[in-house]
Amino acid sequence: MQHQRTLLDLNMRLEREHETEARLAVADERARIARELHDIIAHGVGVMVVHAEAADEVLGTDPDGARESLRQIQTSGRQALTELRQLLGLLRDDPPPASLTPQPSVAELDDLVREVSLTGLSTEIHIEGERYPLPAGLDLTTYRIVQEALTNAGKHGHADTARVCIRYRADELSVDIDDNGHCTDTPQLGNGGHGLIGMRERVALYGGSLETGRGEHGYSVHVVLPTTGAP
Amino acid sequence: MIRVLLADDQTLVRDGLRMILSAQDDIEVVGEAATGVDAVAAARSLTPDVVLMDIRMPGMNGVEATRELMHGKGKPEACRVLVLTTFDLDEYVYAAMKAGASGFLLPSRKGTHCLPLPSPNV
Repeated sequence: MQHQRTLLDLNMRLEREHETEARLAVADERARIARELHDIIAHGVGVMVVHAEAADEVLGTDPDGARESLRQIQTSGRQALTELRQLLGLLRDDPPPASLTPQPSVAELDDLVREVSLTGLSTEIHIEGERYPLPAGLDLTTYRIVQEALTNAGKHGHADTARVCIRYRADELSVDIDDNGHCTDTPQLGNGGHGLIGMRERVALYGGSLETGRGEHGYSVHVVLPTTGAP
Repeated sequence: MIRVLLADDQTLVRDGLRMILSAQDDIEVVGEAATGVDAVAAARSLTPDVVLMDIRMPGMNGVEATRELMHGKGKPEACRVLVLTTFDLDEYVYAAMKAGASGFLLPSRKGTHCLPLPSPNV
């Protein structure tokens, strides 16, 4: 009886710890994504300033060039607005600290893929194998990996199509994200380490493996996460 | 004539800058580069008076390229580096200063004026 009680307590404590861990992970990811979006928007506005000045400079001597710059300002402005909307959505979504709002999970990937497709990265998702419930942290990690890979595909790889494949195996989950974008090194400066580092850390946390690199059509991310032994 | 090399991975930014600079009577854009490595090579072969160096570029970033250009082998005579950055973030200012940059161009300042840096030897 006593033994059972202790086990129960331990289980509850573990659950609470996982909950905290998952919440911290979410906050961390949000902050990072927000920073990235902020960077993109700032850059877009920078392009607008440069071209506004260029148009002003050549208005009299090169009207065609000035018009080209004005069009560029429109395009960059629209893009910045779209990104701003995403950023605001991200910040508004922030759940109150005490709430038990469910974190995004594999089940929400369909929504993610739909959203991403709307931004110009046409994405399809395939789930293979018999679905089984995943521990919350692992579920969230899977979602974040796909989210991160798709963000990178659009942002760094300039891909326009992507394919996500999730395979439920007996004791592991495999996640593949393939796109048709460039396979380039991304600039890293100061503390601006993005995407890959976070992904790698997250995967390591769950004892999984991560492989990235050139795929069949572009960039490829391959993750395997063990699902046995997890609470 | 002030001979300028543009180094920025974004074609859009280079286009805009070239338009602005080419409209000036005393400035000539002598070349463009899209990566840090290309920027260093172009600066060595074209020997411009000024390199406008974007801080974020793939592979070798602007700070590294500045360091390579100013402290590496075959430094072009009298070549100055002005770093292009969206924000005057302290860590970048410091890194670029240490790397040998002479100033900054910030789109947040009207006329993209140069912000002189203190000498790294002080």
